[in-house]
Amino acid sequence: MGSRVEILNPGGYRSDGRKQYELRSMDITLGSTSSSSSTVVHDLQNAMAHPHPTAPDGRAHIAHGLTEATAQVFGPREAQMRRDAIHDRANINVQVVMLPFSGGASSRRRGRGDKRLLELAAAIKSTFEPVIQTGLYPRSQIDIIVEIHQQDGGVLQAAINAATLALVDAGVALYDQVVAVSAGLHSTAVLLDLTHYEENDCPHLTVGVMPRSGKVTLLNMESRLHVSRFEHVFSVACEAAKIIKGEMGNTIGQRTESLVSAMAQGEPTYGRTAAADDMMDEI
Amino acid sequence: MATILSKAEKSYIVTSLTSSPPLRQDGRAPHDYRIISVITGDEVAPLANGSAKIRVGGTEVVSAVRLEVEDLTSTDAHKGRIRCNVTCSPAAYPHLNGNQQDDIQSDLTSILQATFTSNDGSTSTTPTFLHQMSETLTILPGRKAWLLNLDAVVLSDGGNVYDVLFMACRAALWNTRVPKTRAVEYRDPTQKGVAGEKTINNDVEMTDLWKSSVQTKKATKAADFELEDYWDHGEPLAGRARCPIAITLNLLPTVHILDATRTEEQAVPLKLVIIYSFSQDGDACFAGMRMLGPGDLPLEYLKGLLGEGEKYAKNLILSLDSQLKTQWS
Amino acid sequence: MPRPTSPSIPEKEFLVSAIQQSLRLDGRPLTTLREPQLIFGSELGWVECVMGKTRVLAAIDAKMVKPAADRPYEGMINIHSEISPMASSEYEQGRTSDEEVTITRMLDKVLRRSDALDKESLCVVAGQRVWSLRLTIQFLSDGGNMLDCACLAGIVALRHFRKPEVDVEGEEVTIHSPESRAPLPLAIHHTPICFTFALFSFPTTQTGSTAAPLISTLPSGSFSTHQTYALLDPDLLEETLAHGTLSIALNAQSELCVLQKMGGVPLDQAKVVRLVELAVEKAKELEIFIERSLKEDWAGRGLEVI
Repeated sequence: MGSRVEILNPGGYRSDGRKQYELRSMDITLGSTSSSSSTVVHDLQNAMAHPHPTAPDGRAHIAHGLTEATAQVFGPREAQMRRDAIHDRANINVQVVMLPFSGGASSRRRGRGDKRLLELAAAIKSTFEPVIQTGLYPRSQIDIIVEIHQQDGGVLQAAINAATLALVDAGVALYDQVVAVSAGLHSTAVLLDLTHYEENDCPHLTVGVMPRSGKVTLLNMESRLHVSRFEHVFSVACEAAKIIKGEMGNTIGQRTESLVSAMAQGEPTYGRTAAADDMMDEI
Repeated sequence: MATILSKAEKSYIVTSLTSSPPLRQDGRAPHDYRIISVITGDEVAPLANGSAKIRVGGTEVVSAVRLEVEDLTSTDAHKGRIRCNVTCSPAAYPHLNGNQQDDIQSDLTSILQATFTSNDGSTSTTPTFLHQMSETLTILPGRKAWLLNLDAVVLSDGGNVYDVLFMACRAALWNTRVPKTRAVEYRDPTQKGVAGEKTINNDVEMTDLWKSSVQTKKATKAADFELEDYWDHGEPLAGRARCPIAITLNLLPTVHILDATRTEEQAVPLKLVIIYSFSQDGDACFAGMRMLGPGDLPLEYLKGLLGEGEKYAKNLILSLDSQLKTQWS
Repeated sequence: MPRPTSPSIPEKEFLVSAIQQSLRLDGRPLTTLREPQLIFGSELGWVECVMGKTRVLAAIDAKMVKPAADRPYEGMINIHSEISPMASSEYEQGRTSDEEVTITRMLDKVLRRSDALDKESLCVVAGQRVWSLRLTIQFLSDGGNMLDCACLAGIVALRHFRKPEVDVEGEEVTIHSPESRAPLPLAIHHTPICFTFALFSFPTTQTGSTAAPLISTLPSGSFSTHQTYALLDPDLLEETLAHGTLSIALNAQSELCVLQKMGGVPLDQAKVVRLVELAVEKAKELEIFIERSLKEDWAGRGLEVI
């Protein structure tokens, strides 16, 4: 790279051509289909026709620009360890893995015991504990597994959003959805949805908002920012969360619609083998 | 491994597999594969030098190759090396605890590592895959070479993970482009023209004793190297066609089935993993074998199975390669 | 691992009803710290911080090392913190609890990543010799809110510590003993102080029997009708029963360094801003207290202060 890239040029554009308040393009996939593949049809058929016994109950993939994360939800299911069972509510387990080639600043290998991953997992766990209606699933366990496929800033944001969507896909009862977004400050200008490059240069924070009540459930900032500026950045971020919530809501709506229409047709349209398989399952 | 299948289910699966004609839950013939979908290149892992994602039924494996420059003078290695690592997403084995997942991970890593990096002092007459490949990986003979990191991630396991793992690795290696390099040498200008074909710094007036000149061919005294072009215009790995492939035979007393689903694997615990490597002309080499699960196998069957396996492997590799060739631009 | 014994139901109910009347069991107002107490040891950089029943010990030692190859001009600082069973029987030797992960990461962010310490001033000979500081944090007793106590102990220890003076002549490095030349303080840019609020949330509509929601450990629902209470510097019981925490680390110059609220009960935007403002005030007060304690200690030492 030649000269230093400007975070925000005089024309009001950021290094990747976005405006100040512009979010990166979002791509959400619910369920186990993968939209980026050229063999979607086959994939769908495969996934539907051969549900293997350990397939997740809910799965969501989200891309914020180049940052990509997949969350998978298992459960509610019987607690694996009896001592993990809680008598009046569900126990939530969160694991976070980073793929070895996900890039970002952390190209070095991270094992299961890595402090940063544990912290990320703890943040996700405590974010969703009050949001999931755990009281409905006593003595059971819900596992949320988040895989970070690519990192380009906003890893926490992508992980939270993916986990929300996966929980919705799994049909776990929630009081509200949690939507996360990152925001930063470049001199006096607030930027939204920062890339890795911008994160290195600007003080930034990640907020997790519950859109129904507009309350903040997650707040994370690790860089120096003057108090007088904080309020502004914070309120812009909360506003941006509503936009993301809209996007997520649309996708959930579409997914539900397609499921409902598939159910209305009575018989799956994707092939004979699948139907035969369904019959086998019933036997 | 935790049992997730009841005895009745097991016996149901086994009886239908051993009946004639054999019946499988999803209607496949015993030696059919599920649909294999292949994605290679930047769509999978844009930051890697080569990558592939293979999905077979519920099994999904991503494999990526990253190259890094290694200084050979400071390590024991004397040519380009390959280092394998397999990571299992906890989502692939949700019913296992952390330690059991680690066990699977290290098991898969060791089989990959053993297949890809062994036979250094090979006695075989034909050059092995590794030999051919390390030629491409050399930057400066004896001094610098690419260290090839082969990372595979098992995203989900719907059965037959060994086959898919090797397919993904083959596809990722096939997809890899090694950046072209050019040796840079600092030498006496009076010797210019003896070995150098091309000099960039064509400054004849220079009176310094030492000046830099650049050679395109192998330079024995080369001190450093530079990248020739943008990194994505590299050359493919030599001998990538010889990259090994695994075939898992799930053994029952009278029959064997290929590409077992997770449920079938549970019901048929005895597995024979055979790893083959094929030369350009299609001659099969035997690259490794593993028997997994309880029970034993009469010795006389083994030879037949090896032959059968070769047939399957050849078919698999043909269809995989044709798919890879269409995606290779 | 035995699950830590949870407080009894009457205990919970008593605390909850007290909080609803804005009362705390130790008589403090909701937004008051337990009076911190700093005990300095005979060695420099040895500080024990006491807040109520919480005790944390911070000690610094320095040695010369070769710097990292990619940062030849920077010294190093390592923070070691491990919660041993000494603090409370809840913690087990050799097992990393969630709490330990949180505290370790927060200490790292507050003391190291906030650039409180000028790392370049620790350089002696570029690429050859730098100071490597080791900050060891020992948790002596867990009376709640160990994080704030540890941060306070850590930053005061850094300000209390003096590194020996060094002379460089060519390649020769001479370290002067404290007896021959007065040791030098570290170059500290600012003093980040951490404040933790324990958050409690109760439904405001007191219709019917509220006993059930009161004793549940996690409040739930849409939270729109809930009344939220924030308790500064929670003690052990408050911490155990809290529905969530918010940690704010900032310096007396009103610069936020770390803000961390990991899930738990959700807050209004306005409430967050109010708590941040409150923390600003408290940081200024505490900064004055730190200055005063350090000065008093130096006066008692009779050493040359630079």
